[in-house]
Amino acid sequence: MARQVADPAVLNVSTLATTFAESYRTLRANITFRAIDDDIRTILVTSAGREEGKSTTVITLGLVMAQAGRRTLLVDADFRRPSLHLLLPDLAARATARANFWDRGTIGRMPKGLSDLISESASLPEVVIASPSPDSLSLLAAGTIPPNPSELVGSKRMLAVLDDLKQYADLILIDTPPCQLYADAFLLSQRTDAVLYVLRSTRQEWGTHRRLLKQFEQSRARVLGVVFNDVDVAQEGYDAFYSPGVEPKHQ
Amino acid sequence: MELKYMLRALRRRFWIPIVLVAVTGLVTGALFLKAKPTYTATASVIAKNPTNGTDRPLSFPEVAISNAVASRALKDAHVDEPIADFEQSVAVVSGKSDIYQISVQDRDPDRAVALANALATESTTFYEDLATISVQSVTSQIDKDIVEMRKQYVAAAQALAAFDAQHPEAVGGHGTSALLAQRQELQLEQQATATAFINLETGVSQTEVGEITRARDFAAGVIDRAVAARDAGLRAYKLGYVLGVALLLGIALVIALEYLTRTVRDPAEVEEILGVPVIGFIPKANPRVMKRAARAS
Repeated sequence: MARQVADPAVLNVSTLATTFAESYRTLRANITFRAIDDDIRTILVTSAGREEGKSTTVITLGLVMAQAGRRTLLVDADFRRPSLHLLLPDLAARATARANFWDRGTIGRMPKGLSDLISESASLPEVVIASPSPDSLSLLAAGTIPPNPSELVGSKRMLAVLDDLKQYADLILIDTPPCQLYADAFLLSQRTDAVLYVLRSTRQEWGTHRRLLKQFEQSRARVLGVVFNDVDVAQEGYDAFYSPGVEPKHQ
Repeated sequence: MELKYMLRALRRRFWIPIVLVAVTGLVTGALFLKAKPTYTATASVIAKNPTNGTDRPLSFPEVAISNAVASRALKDAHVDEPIADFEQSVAVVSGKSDIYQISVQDRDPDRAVALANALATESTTFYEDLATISVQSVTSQIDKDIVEMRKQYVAAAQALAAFDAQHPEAVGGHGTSALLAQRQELQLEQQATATAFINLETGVSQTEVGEITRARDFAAGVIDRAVAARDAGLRAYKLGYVLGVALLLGIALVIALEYLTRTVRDPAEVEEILGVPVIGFIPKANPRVMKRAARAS
C-alpha cells in the first residue's frame, strides 16, 4: 500500500530515492564535512519566523542522517507550536499505541516528550519513540506544553537531559520556535554544539536575519550555516542545468 | 542591490513600466484631446541697452512683465483678466542681441495676438519712459535755474546802468573814490552773474546732448507684430515629458518592489548578504514527483 505523503517537502522512506532528497544528502555531507574537526553531536535548527521549514528540515535531515547509518534523534523543543509528531504521524501513532489506551486517549493527542523529561515526570525510554524504518531514527516529541517554555529550555535540567539523550543517539537534531519571536533558540544554542539557520527563498527582511545571526554569534553559538530552503529552481534555471539528459556545454 | 539583480528584476517585472507608460499615455492623450487647444502669439521687439552684465540700469524683460505694463496691455487689448493670471501666460525670451520675443499663451488666438501686440507696444513705451524719466526731472530743474540766473544777471546789469545814469562822471573814471568803488562793485556783480549764466547755458547744452544720446541708447520699438500659432509642439513635448516621467516611475516602482519584496534565489547572494555560508540548498518539492515516488514504493 502506498504511503500517504501529507507534506511533499517532508521526506519519508518512500521518497528518499528522489532527486529532491539529494539536496538533503548534500546538506548531510556539508555538515559531516564541517564536523570532521569538531565533535558535533547536537544541532539546533531554527529560523527567524514561522513557516521557514525548520521542522521539515529537522525531519528530512534526520532521515538522511539515519539512512547513512547514524543514530539520529529528532527532538521537538518547540513548546510554542510543536509539530514534529504531526509531520511524523506514524511515529506519533506508535507513541499513543504504546501508551495505555484508557490513560492516553486517541491518536492526535500530544505524546509525552521533552517537557516531561525535563520535569522528570517521564523517563527516557518512555518518551523516545524509535522509528521502524530507518531504525536508527528516533523521535522525542515536545511533550506536555509547559506554561513557561523559556525557563524550561534554559534550566540546568535541560543540559542534563541533553547529556542523557546523547546516549541514545550519535546526532541530535533539535527543532525550536522562531528565534525572532522567542528567546528559546538563543537559550538552547548555548547548550548545543551547532546551529542551523533555515531560510525560505521568499520575501525576506535581510536586516532582521543579519541581526539574529549576530545575536547567535554574541551568545557564542556556532552557526554551521544557512539552509536555503524552498528555492524555486525553475525560475533561476537550475533545474534545466541539472536535469537528467542535459549534456554539459563544452566551452 | 547590484546592477545585475536590478536588471533581472526589470526583466521579470518589465510589464510594470510598460503598463504605466501605456496607461499614462492613454490618459494624457485623452485629456489633451478633450482639452481646448492653446495658442501662442509672439511679437518681437528691440530694446537697446548700452550696458551689459549685472550693471544694467534697466532690464527689458523685467519691465515687460511688470504689473504696470501688464495692466496697460490688458486695458489696450480690452481684456478683463486678473493681472496675475495674465502674467502667468506671458514669456519674454531674449537672445544674444537686444531683440526680445514676447509670447502670450491663450485659448483664443485673437486674444493672444491682441495681448501680445499690446504688451509689446506698452513694454517698449514704458521702457523708454523709464530710461528718460530722470532726465525730465533734471531738465525742469535746470530750466528753473536758468530763469533764476537770468533774473540775477538782468538785475545786476540794470543796477549798473542805473548807477551810470546817476553818476556819469564815474563812467569816465572821474569822481570820488567812494563812487568809483561802488561802480566797480556793480561791474563785478554784473560780470559774475554773466559768467554764471554762460556756464549754466554751456552745461545745459552738454547735458541735453548727453540725454539725447542716452535716450537714443535706450530706444525701444516693436519689430514684428504677433501672429498666433497652435501649440501642437508643446503638447507633444508635454506628452513626451509625461511619458518619460511614467517610465522612470515604473522603473523606480520595480526597484522599490524588488527591494521591499526581495526574493533571493542565489545562495551566493545569501552568503554575501548574511556573511554566513549556505550549506544547504533545498529546492521546492515537486508534489507530483513525490507522490509518484511514494506510489512506486
